[in-house]
Amino acid sequence: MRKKLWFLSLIGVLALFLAGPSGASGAEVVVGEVCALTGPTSLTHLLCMSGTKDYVEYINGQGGIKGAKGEVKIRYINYDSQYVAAKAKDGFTRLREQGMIVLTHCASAHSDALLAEHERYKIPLVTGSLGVSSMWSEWVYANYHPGIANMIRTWAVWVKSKWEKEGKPGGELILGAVESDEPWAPLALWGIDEFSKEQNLKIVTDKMPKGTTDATPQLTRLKQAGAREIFVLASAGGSVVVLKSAKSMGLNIPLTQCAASTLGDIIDLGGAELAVGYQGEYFYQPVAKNPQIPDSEGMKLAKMLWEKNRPREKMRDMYINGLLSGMIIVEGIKLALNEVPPDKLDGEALKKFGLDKIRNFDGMGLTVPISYIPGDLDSHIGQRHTQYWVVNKEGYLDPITDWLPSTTYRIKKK
Amino acid sequence: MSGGTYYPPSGIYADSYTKDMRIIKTKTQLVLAIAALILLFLIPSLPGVSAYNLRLLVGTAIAVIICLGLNILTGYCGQLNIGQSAFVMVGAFTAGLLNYELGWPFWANIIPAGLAAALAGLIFGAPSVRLKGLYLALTTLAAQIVLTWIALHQISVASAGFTVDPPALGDFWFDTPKRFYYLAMAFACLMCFLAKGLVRSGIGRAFMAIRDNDIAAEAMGINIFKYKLLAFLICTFYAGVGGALFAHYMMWVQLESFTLMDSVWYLVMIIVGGLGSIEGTIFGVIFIVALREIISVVGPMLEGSMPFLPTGAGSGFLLVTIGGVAILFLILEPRGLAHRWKMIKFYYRLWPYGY
Repeated sequence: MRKKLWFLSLIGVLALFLAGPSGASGAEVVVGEVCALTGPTSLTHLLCMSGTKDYVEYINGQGGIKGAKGEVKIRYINYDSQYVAAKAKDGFTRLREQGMIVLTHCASAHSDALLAEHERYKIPLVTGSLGVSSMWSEWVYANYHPGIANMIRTWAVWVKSKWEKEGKPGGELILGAVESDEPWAPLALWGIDEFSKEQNLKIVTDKMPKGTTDATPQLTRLKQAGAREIFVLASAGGSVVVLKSAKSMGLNIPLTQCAASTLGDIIDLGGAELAVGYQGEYFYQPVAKNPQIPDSEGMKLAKMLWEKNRPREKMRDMYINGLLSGMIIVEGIKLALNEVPPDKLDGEALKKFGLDKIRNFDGMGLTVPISYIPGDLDSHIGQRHTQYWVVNKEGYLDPITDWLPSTTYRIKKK
Repeated sequence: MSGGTYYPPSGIYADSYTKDMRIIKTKTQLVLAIAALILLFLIPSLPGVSAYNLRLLVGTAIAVIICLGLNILTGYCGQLNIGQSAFVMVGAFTAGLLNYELGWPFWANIIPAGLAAALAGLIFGAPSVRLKGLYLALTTLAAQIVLTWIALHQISVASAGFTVDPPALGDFWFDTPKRFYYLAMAFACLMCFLAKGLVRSGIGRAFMAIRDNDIAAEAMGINIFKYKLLAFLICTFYAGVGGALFAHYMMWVQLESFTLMDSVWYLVMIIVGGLGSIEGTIFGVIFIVALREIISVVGPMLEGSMPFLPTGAGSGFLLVTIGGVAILFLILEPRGLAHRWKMIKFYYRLWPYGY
């Protein structure tokens, strides 16, 4: 009996291996993704990964990518980094050995940790998450986010412009920031005093301890300091704590969420009632936007792909992030195939003849047109625009600004 | 606990204390040890061994060093430490910053990294004289939180991360998995040898006496405070050395590489391998690394073949399996893989007789 069980188990494992993805026929290029499928950011990364994967499978289903010099299908492979830089490096090696010519992911820490590998092995990165060092590399192509230190800077410039339009009430602009005790938070505030001096404004920051369930002391101090608006540097959980505290103390200062979480996620976590009036920054069309705002073609495609692949689950914003990465990769491959045949299409050729030639690419209307210009590091930041949205009473998002230019600050390299 | 007990094959007797204390007691053991070293040396040249495989082996060697320290403290001395990753972080940041800020090479950083981690270990180990079990575990948990907080708020480059040079010998850089493999294995062998020597010395016996009954140990004249602190110091020195290797291997250091979850992984490794066993530490690390790799292949396959599973279920399989394995080992084989290894050796020696 025991032998029989062992035999059956062996057959089962073999069947699983055989049931795996079969090799595609014809020319194919390998797109790799290193993502934290387990670990603290797994939900975000799963959504992001799903967006890229669904899009490249959709393109394969349409017959692949065709250019003047040939056509290819994409083989998509991924590796679970568990949000550990060492594992991300292992993953890069493994994917490279499997023929990867371009990598994508959405972890800013990975962007920096893998930078040496991208440059050494000439494999470009298309990402939604720029780190600090990676903002200095031409091998990195960002799809939406202007880098962690630009979230509060762009917001401050926006609030300042509103304040100036109102005739500079109070004579001095004081802004507040609640900072959660998360590893990325100091990066978001990097060099902020210098920036405040340049902008002739004052930013008061207050730290929120890890795991706290009450941000009333922080908000009270910021209010007492005269903050005109407050920027929330926290992931979804911390932001819900801030919102609850603000509501309980009847705070009437506008609060704005940073890109560490989306308004959609906060509505899901804290409820629409709590989130009413909460502002947030977006770099593409939000999933939870007011239904009266028409879907872009890209959003229609996203909804179709999501519904097809995950009919029982709810689509979230980070899916769009992954979809955009997939779109940029496909666009780059398409352009490169006009110059090089499929068998010569490696990472370097993809960069030179594909990604570097992308101009005015807006992801079927999902975002502001992106152009990557060789020699212009700012262009590698991506679309370099931010739009602010607010949660309405129905729990949907309405835009409160047009697309505003993002700041393009980089933390200096040593 | 399996540490400290060795039964030589029948007919082999030590006729002096020196002989009795030898690590390698028989010719067979000598031949096997040399064969193992040759195999370790040849692995990178074997067909089918990719750079990825070598990266896994380098990671295994570094984890062995870190877990050896943890096993000396927890397995041999009985002091629970659930913050080992924080001490690895101290070593990694010390080596990394000495290189980044002052340009010191790997060879000059390795000892300061170990000493810095040992100093942190001494500070957090001090309460061990008054605390035991879960209470002591909490102080080591505090080490994880406090040291991470200090790194985050006092070291400006900690959250951003920074680059570190690979080790070099003259113009020869250990900057590929194959090259670093030899360095990591050399360090792992050296640290294993030192640990093996330590646990069969008077210090090792004092550790085991404290583990088995600290009151009795004190009655026998063992200075509990001194030896508990010494165990913390050795444990965290190992962690610091592992951290320095990690920093120079990764060529990159950042705060998020050293989490509480990593500390848990290290504990699981020594539990699965066998508390109080040097061989067990090696087995445990290899077992968990291999299990992770298998699950990373099988998990997504399971998810792909079962469409009713939600997105990401295949990856979650990893944590469930590792947790399950740790529980199973605690219930079914609390002495870990090291004990199984011993049973295999006994079986081999006694075969074909069952006695």
